[in-house]
Amino acid sequence: MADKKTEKINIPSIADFPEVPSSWGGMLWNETGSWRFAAPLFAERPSPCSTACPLSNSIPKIMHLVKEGDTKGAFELLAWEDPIPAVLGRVCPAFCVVECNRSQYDEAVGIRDIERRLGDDFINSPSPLPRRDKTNKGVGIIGSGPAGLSAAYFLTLLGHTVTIFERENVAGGIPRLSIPDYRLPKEIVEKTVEAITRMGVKLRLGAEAGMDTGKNFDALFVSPGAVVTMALNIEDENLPGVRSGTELLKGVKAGSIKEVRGKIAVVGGGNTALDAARTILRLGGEPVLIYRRTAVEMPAFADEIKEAAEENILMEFLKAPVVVKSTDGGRLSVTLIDMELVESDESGRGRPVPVKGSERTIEIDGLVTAVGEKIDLSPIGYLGNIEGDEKIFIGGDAAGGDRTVAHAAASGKRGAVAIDLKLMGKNVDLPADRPVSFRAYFNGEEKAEAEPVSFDEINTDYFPKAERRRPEGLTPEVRTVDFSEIEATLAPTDSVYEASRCFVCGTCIDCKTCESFCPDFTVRAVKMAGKLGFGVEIDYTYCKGCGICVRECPRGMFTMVDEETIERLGRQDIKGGEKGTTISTDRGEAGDR
Amino acid sequence: MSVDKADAKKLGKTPPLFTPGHLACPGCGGTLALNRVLNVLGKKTVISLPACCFSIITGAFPHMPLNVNLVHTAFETAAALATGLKAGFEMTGREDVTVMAWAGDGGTFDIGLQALSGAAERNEDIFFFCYDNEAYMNTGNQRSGATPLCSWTTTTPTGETMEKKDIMGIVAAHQIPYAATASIAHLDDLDAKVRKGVEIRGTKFIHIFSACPTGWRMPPDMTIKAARLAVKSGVFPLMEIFDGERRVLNYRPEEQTPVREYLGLQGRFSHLTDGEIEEIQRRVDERWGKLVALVDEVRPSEDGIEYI
Amino acid sequence: MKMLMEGNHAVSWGVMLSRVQVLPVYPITPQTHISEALADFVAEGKLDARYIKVESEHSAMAACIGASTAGARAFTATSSQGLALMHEMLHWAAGARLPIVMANVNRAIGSPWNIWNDQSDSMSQRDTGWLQFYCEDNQECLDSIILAYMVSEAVLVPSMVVLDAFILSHTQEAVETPRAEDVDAILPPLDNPNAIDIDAPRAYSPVVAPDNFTEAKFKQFRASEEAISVIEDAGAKFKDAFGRDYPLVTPYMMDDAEAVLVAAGAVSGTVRGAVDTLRGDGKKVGMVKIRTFRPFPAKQIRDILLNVPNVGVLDKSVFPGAGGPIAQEVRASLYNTGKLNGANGGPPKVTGFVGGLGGRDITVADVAGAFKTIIKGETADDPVFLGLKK
Repeated sequence: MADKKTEKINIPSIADFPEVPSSWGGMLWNETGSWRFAAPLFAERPSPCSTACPLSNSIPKIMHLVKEGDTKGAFELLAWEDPIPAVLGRVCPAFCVVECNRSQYDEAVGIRDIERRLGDDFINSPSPLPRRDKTNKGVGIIGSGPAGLSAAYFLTLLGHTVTIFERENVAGGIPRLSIPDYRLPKEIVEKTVEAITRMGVKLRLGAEAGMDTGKNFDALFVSPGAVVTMALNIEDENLPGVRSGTELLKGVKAGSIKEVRGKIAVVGGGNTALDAARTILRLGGEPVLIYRRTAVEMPAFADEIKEAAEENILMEFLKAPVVVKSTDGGRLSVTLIDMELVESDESGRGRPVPVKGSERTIEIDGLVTAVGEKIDLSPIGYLGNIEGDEKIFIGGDAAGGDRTVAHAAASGKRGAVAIDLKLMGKNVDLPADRPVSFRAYFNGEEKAEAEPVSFDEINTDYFPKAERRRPEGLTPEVRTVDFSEIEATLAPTDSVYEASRCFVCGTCIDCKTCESFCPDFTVRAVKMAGKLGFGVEIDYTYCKGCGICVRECPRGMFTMVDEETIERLGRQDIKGGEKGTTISTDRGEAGDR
Repeated sequence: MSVDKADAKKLGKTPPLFTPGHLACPGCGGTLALNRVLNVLGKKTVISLPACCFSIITGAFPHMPLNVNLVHTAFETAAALATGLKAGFEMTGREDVTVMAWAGDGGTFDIGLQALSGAAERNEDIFFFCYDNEAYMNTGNQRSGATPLCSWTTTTPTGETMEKKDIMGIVAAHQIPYAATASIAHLDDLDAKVRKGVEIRGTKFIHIFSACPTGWRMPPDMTIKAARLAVKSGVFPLMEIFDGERRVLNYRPEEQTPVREYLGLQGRFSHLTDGEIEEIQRRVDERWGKLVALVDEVRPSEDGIEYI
Repeated sequence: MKMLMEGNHAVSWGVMLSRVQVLPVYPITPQTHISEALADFVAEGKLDARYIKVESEHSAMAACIGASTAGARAFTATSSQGLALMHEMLHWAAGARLPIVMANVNRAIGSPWNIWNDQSDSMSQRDTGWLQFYCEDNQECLDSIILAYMVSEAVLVPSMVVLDAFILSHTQEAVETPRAEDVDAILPPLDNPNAIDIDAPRAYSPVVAPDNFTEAKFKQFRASEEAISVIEDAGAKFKDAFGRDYPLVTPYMMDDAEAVLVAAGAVSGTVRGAVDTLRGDGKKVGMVKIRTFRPFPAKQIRDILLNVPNVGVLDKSVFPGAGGPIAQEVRASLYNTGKLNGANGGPPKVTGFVGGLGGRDITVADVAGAFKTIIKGETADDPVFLGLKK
C-alpha cells in the first residue's frame, strides 16, 4: 500500500475501476524534472571581501556569527586565519571593505571595524583553536614583525616548537616600532605579542640570530623586513637635519624624539610619509608633504590621506627635491622642481618627469625622506645560503610582494604551512595565485575555485537600506595635540548592527527563502557538516527549473546551469537511497576564502 | 538524467500534504500558496475545488499530488459545495474537519460570486481562498472581473478597460467575521492569517495575490518579485477586515515602489504608454490614499512579521 | 396514523421519516410548502438536520453533493425553472454516484411563464442519469421518498420523486404516516463506504481522461440498469413492512384490451376512470401506469403491450422534433422485438397524445376521446394535442 503513493497506477479492467470516480494514487512517479531546460545549482561561493583578503578570512560567516550574538564563534573563525586581529583591525587597508558588494547598494560594511572589535574583545583570551599534537620539530624565526609573529602562531598550532629572534628590544616590528600611536597604540601590539607568546612561543629580544642558529632548528623562517631606507639620490641628502621617515617615527615611538620644530619638508607619498608629516604636526612642527605625483596616485591608504587632509597637512603635488643645502642661518634650503606626468611606468601610474626650468628653492628646518624601503638580506647572510637553502623560508616584506601588515601576516601563514609540509615530509605545492587558508590546511579540506558573488547576484529586496555606523573618533582639532588613538573601537551594539548589514554573499545562513518559495517543493533547507552548518538539497527528479530559488536567494547561493553540469557534478556527489535523486551540496566551501 | 527513482521512504512517517510531481507551470504562485495553507490547516482538511488551474494541477484519475481529501466541483459552486461538505461533516459527527474552498479569480469574482455571497451571508463555517492570477488562466488567459486595468489578455487584446472588481469590499459588505488579503511573497503573513481563521467560526475569506508567470508573460523566476512589487507599490495592499467594519492595514511601506517598476516586469503590460502608466499610478495613489484614510489601524497581521 | 395532508407535506413527512441530515432548499412555487414544512420540522426538533437556506437551486444541488460526499443523507426539492437551473449539477450528482433524493413538483418551464402542472420539467432532465419515480397520489409521494433512499443508497444513483403541481402538491388526501421505528427498520442510517475518509484521502470527481472515461460512464449506466431489480427488492421489503405495493408499471384491465392508453402521474386515475366508462360501453380498453420512468421499464412495457393492437401514450409534455417523451420511450421499447402481434401484421400502432400542458385539466371525456382515436388506429397528427383550440 505504501507504493500507491509513488507508483503509476494502471487500470487494465473495469473490475479495477472504483465504483465512484475518485483518485487515490500519488503523483511521485511523475518526474517533472524532465520539463526543465536549465537547472539551479546550489553552491557555497566565495565573497568578494574574502577573495580580496590577504588572509582569506571567512568574512561573511564571521559577520553572520556576530549578528547572531555569537562573538566567541566569530572570533574563533577569525582566529583560524587572522593571527593579529587587534592590529589588523586598525591598520589593514581593508581590501574587504573596498570590494564589499554592499558598497554598490548603500554603504560598505565596516568589516575592519568589526575585526577590531573582536580582536580587542579577545586580546587577553587564550587561543580558542585546536592544536596538533606536539611534533619534535623546532623552528627558528628571525624577526618579530607581523610576518614572524604570524609564522610563530601558525607553527605553534601545527605542534612545532617556535623561537623568535628579535634584534630590537621590543617585539612587533614596524607595527610596534614605527606606526604612530594615534593609529596603532603600542599597548595593542604588546598585548598581541603577549597573546602569541602565551601560546608557548619563545621570544628572544635584543637577540641577533647567531651563526649556529640554523643548526639548532629544523627550519628557519626569515622575516627581517625591508628596513633599508631608500635614498633620494639628490645632492647632500646626508646633511644633518635630513633623516628618514622611519627613523623619525621609530624615535618618537621609542620616546627619544619628543619635539620637532620648524618647517619640515617630508618627501614621499606613502604611509610613512604621511605618518611622518602627521607626527611632526603633533610634535609642534609645520610639515609640508612633497610628492612627485598627484593625490590620486599617492600610495598611502585612503583613510590616512583623508585624515591628513582633515588635519590640514600641507601637501605639494607634482614636485620633487633636486638638491638640499645648508643655509647660513643654520637652516636648510631645498630646491624643488615641478613634475609632470607622462605615459605610465611599471606601477601603472603616470611617469613623473621634471619640467625644465621650474626649479624654485625654499628654506626649511628639516627634511624627512620617505620614499620607500629596500630589502637587504645580506646582514643575515651568515645564516646560510638564504635563497638556496631548503631549510630556510623567507617571509614578510623581505620576500617581496605587497607591503602591508596584512600581506606580511599572510606571508607568515604561508611560510608556516610550507615549513610544516617540509617538516612532515609532504610534497604538496601551495597555490601561488591565492592566499593559503590555514583552516583548510589544518582540516585537510579541498577548496574548489569559484567566482565570487557579484552585486547583481544579490537580491536587494531582502535588505532595507541601512546607513553604516562608524566608530567614534576624535575630531581633527582635538586629535592633533597628541598621539591619542584617533578612532575608537566600534561599540558592541554597533558592531552587531554593522554585521547585520552584511549580505553574507555566498554563504548559506538557513534563511529558508529558497525552500519557502519553491513551487514544486523540491528545494529543502538541510543541515550540513562544517561551514555554518546550513545548506540545501534540490530534488532534481521534480525540479522544473523555474529559477525562483536562483532569483530569490538573497545572497547568490544558486546559479542556473545546464543539465550537463548537473549530471557532471551529480555523478560525483549524488546521494541515492533515502534522499532519492538529490545532489548533495556538501561539496566543501567552493573557493571560500 | 535522474538516477534513482523517488521512493516511498522519502515520504517519511507523515507524508507531505502536497507532493512534487504536480502539473503546475514552472514558477506557479498558486501551488506555493496552497501548500502553505494546507500546512497550517493540517490533514483534517477537505478542499472544495471548482474549475480552475488546480483542476488540472492536481492530476488526472487515478492520481493526485495531495494527501488531503479533494472534491472537484463545477465552476460556480465552490462555496456551495463547501457549505454542503461542512454541513455533512457536522451532521456525521466530524465537526473538527476543516472545509476550505480553493477557487481562482473567475470562480470567486465572476461565476462563483453568487455562491460565495450566499455562503458569506449565511456565515457558513468555511474558509474561502481565492488565489488570484487576474484572469481565466486555466482556459488560456481570458479576462475576468479580477483583471486589472490595461492588462492584456486574449479577450482584451488592446488592454482591459475596466478596473479590477473590489472583491474585498463585496465580501466585507456581507459582514463575515474575517476577510483578508495575502500575497505569495509574504508567506509569514499568509500563515498568520490562516491561523487567525482557524480560531474563528464563520466565513473566512482570504484573497491571495498569486502571480502567474505564464499568463502575465514573465520569466518563471519573477513570480515572487512581481508579487512583492505589487504589494510595495500599493497595487495590492495587505489588509484585514474584521466583521465587515474594522479595517487593519498590515503593511505601509515607507517608500512606495513606483507602479512602473511593477508593471515593467510583465509582458501583459508591455504595450502601455507612459500616459497610461501615469494614469495607473494616479489611480493607485488615489485608492491607496482612500484606503489609508479609511483604515482603523496599521499593524502587521501578527507581531514580529517583517514585510519586505 | 392516517392524516389528511397535501402532497407537498407528504413529501416532507417522507423526508422526516427518512431522517435526512442536510437540507439545502430554495423556494419555488409549487414546491414551497415542502421547504416550509421541513423548516417547521427542524425548528420543532422533529427532524435533526442542517437546514441550509441556499441562494439558488444550483447551489442547492451543489450543497447536496457536498453533504452527500461527506457521507450525510441529503435532500432538496424544486420545480420547473429551479430544476432547469440545477441541470448541470444533476449531471454532476449522477456522475459522482451520490445517493441524493430530490422531490420535483412537476411544473411547466418558461418561457412563457406558467406555474401550473405539466411534466416538461422532469422530462427535460431525463438524460441526467437520475432515477425518476412518478407519483399518482399523496400516499405514493410519502412512500416514494423512503423507497427512493432505499434504492439510491443501494445502487449509488440519485433519485427524483415527481409529483404533479397543485393536483397533488396542494390537494389534501388521506395519507397513512408510517411509524418512525418501522421506517428505521427498512431504512438504516446512511453508511456509504465511498464517502470521505479523512485518513484515506481521495480526489472526488477528478479529471478522467479518455483512457478511463468510458469505464466511468459504463459503471454509471450499469448501476442504473441494475436499479430495476433493486427497485423491485425495495418494493417487496416495503410491501412487507407497510402492505403497500409500488411496481414499476401497473396494468389495468389489460387482459383482453385491444386499445390501451399509457400514462404517468396523477392523470393515471383519470385514465382509469375513462377505461371504466368505456368498458361499460363494451369497449375493450385498458391502461398502463408507469411509475418508474428512469430507468425505463422497457421489458415490462414490452411484455404488457406487445400483443395489444392499438397503443396510445399520454404525455404531459412535448419536445419539438421529438413529440412526447413517454411515447418515444414506449415506441422504442416495442421496436426490434422480432415479434408480430398478428392483428395488424406488425408491432402495435402507437399514437402519441399530448395534454395537460401548463396545467390545463384533462377530463374523463378528454381521455375517452383519446381512446376513440386509439381504437380508430389512425390519426392525421402525431402527437395529437388534446383539446387544442382550432
